[in-house]
Amino acid sequence: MPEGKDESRTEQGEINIDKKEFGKEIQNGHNDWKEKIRGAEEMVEKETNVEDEYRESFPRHMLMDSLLDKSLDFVVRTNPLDVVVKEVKNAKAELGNEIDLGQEVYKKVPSMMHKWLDMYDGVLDEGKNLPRDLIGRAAELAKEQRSTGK
Amino acid sequence: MNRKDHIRADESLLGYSIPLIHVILDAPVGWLGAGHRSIHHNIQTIKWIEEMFGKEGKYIALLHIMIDNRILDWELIKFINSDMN
Repeated sequence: MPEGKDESRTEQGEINIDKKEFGKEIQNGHNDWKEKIRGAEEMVEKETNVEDEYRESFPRHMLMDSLLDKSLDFVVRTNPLDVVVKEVKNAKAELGNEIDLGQEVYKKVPSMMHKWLDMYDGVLDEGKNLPRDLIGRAAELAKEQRSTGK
Repeated sequence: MNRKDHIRADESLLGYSIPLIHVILDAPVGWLGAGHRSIHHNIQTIKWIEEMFGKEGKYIALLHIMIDNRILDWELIKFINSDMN
């Protein structure tokens, strides 16, 4: 094509447009915009879905957290060593050191410990997917209980 | 508590002990010093020890971690150890 010559213009300077082609271009452009708008709508819809999901999951997470906290508190409170030591000390206070009741009491310790450790392991297992250090939390609870004496 | 104390606590509280588990759990003490409790004292290690040594191993690892984190009071364990022997 020679330089400076525009095919869409006639020699008189009128614009020669193919109406069919022009119509198609407009239609294509319209379709493009339609797709873009649909895409944007889908994106907005997805965003709201994520938000809903977050809103739904948040209380569940909080609930799991508080339930596990309560279970850990229960496990730490039911420490069998506290019970055994109290029992032995009470027996010694009542009967003196002459009768060795301690040995009878200590026979129960392994089975009590196994059950208690199973309980603790169960709580750790339940909360293994939570982004939380349950062992550390149990240590905190034990420290609190020791300091308050409850 | 040192390894001997842990083994003694196992024997008095569980009725058995596997000293190798304490060696594994306290292995990072060599390069971490007092901060060793942040490594190997977690749920993953307990599961691994359970796979290696069975249920008895799991109890020993759990007890070790509970003693090191002071979930079980050392004073109670010392009282029972001294009273039993």
